[in-house]
Amino acid sequence: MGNLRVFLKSVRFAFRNKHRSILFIMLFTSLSVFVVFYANTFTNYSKADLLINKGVIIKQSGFDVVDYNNATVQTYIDTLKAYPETEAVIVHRYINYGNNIRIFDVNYTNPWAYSLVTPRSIMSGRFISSQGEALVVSGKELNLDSTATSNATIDPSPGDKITISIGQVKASFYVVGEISPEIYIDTQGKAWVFVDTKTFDTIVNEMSTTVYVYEVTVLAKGNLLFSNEPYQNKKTILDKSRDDILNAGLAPNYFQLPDGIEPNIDRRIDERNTDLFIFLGGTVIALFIMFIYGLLIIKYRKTEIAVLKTVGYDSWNIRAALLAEVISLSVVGYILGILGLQAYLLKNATSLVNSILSWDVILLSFFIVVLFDIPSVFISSHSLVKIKPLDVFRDRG
Amino acid sequence: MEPLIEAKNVTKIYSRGSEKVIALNKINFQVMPNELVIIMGPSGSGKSTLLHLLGGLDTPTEGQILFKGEDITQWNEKKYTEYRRNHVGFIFQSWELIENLTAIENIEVPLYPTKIPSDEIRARAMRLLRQVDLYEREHHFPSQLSGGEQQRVGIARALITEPSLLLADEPTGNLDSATGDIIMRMLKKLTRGGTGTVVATHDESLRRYADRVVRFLDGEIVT
Repeated sequence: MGNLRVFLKSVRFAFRNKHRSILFIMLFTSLSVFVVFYANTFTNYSKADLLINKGVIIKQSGFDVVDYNNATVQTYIDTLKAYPETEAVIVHRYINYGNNIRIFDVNYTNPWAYSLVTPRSIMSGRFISSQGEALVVSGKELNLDSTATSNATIDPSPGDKITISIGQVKASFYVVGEISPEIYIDTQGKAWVFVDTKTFDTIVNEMSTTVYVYEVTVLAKGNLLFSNEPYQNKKTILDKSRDDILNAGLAPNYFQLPDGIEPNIDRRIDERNTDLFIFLGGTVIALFIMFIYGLLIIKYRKTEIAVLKTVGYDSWNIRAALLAEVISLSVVGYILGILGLQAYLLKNATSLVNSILSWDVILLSFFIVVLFDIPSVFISSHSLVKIKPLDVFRDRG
Repeated sequence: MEPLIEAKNVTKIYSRGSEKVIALNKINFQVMPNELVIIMGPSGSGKSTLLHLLGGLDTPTEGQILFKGEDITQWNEKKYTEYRRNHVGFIFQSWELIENLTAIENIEVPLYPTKIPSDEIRARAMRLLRQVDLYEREHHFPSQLSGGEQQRVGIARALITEPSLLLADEPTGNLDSATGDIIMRMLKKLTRGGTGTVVATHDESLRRYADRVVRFLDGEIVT
C-alpha cells in the first residue's frame, strides 16, 4: 500500500517541474514516433508485403476454367503442399451465383495471402473478421436474382444485410467493407462478393455447383525478419511450381505460369537488413535515453532523494517515486507521438482505413517506449537508491 | 527514568584522503523525554556529527548509541530506515523542502509510504499547519514562502510522524533573530509534549530556551 501511494502521488507530482517534464516528454515523443514508424514497417513484412517476400501466386488462365475438384488440379495442389520449402498453400476459390455474381471465399485468418483482395484494398468499412461477413466492390451493383430473370439490383454498402436464395434455403451475410473498384477485372462483367470460408462452404453445399479456382498462393517457409530462408525458398518454389505445372499439363490452358518476375533476393535482403538495423538501433536508443534519464535524474533529484531517505523512505519507496515519474512522462510522450504520427498518416493518406495504425504496432511500440522504462529505471537508479543522505548534504556544504 | 537516547563512549573518525579526522572522541551524551538539549560549539566541533549518529544517518567508529535501551549501532539498513521513519524527526538548517511539492504535501511526504490512511495524513498535516501558523499557506510552493515559513514547514514535516526524538541542526541559522525566536519557542513547546529535542547551534542567544546546554570543542564535550 505504501509503495502504491508513493507511486500515485509521484504521478501527480511528475508534471510539476515544467522544464524537466517538457524535456522528457519531448524525448519520449520523438522516440515514440520513431519506434511506431519502424514497428509499422515491420508489420508490413508479415502483412502487406507478405506475398512479395514469400508468396508464389499461380493464377487461373481465365474465369470458369479451373475446376477445384478436378483430379489433376487437386494433384497439383497436393504437389505444391508437399514441397519441403512450403509453409502453406491457400486456394482462392469462387462460384458463380446466377449469371451475374461471383462469390469468392476469403479465409480471414490469412487476409494477406490473396492478390485480389487484402485489407489494404478496403476503401470503406473493414476487412472480414468473422463468419457471416462479406465484402463487395464499391459502386458495383448486385443482381440477387439467381435466375437473372429480373433486373432488381442493389448497391450494397457496409452495414447492409444480403440474403440470397439457394433453392428452398436462404443464406445471409452482412457487408462489412467495400473494395476499391481498381481491383475489379472481371472479363465477364459479373459482380463480386467476398465471403468468409465457412459461409462460402455452406453456400457451395446447398447449391451443388462447380467450385472454381481463381488463384493458388504458396507461402515459403522461414522467418522474414531474422533469416534469408524465405527468399531462397520462394525462388525454389517458383522454379519447381513452374516445372510441375508444365508437367501436369495445366499451363497455359488452366493456370498461367507463376509470376514471371523472380525476386531480387539480394536487394530484398538488403532492404530488410537496413530496416532491421534501424529498428534495433532505435531500440538501443530507447535504452540509451533511459540511461540518460537515469543520469539526469540523479543530477536533478539527488537532494530530494537524500531528504526522502532521511525521513524514512526505503529503496523501494524511492524506486516507486522514480518509476512513477518516468512512466507518467513516457506515457504522455508516447500518446503525443502516436497522435502526431497518426495525424501525419491521415493527412497524407489516400484511404482512411489503411492509414490507421494497427493495434499490434501500437502495442509493440508501447512495450518499447513505456514498459522498457521499468527495467531501465531499476538499472539507472541503482546508484541513486543507495545514496547516503549525509554524503549529499556534505557535498552541498 | 531511562534516557530516550544515549551515546556511550562514542568515537567517530572520518577519512579525508589519507588523513584521519577525529570528529567525536569518546563522547557520553544523553537526552531524556521532555528535555530540550542545546549543543553549542564552533563549526567543526562535532555537533552535526553527533546529530547524524543519533538520527541513524551515520554509524560511530566506536561506542554505542542506545535508543530506549536498544543499541542502534547493531541494526541493519532496514531497521535504520524504520527508526528514522517512526521515531526521529529531522530539522535542517537549509530546510530541505521539496521544490515541486506544496507546503501541505511537504509536510505529508514522510507518511506516504506508511499504512496510515490518506485522510488521517491530511488531518495530521492540517493540524500541524495550524500549529506552525501556516494554515493559509498550505497550497504555496517553497519558492512562494519566506525563510521562516519554510523552516516552519520543515518543523511540521519533522513532527508529522509524531517522533519521540527531534533533531535540529542550526534551525535558526538562516533566519533573522525574531523569526529564530519564534522557531525556538515552537520547539520548546513541542518538547513539553513529550518529545526529546536536540538542537545544534553556535548561536549563544538560543541558550535561554535550553533545559540543558552541552558545549563541544574539537570533538569533545567541554562542559
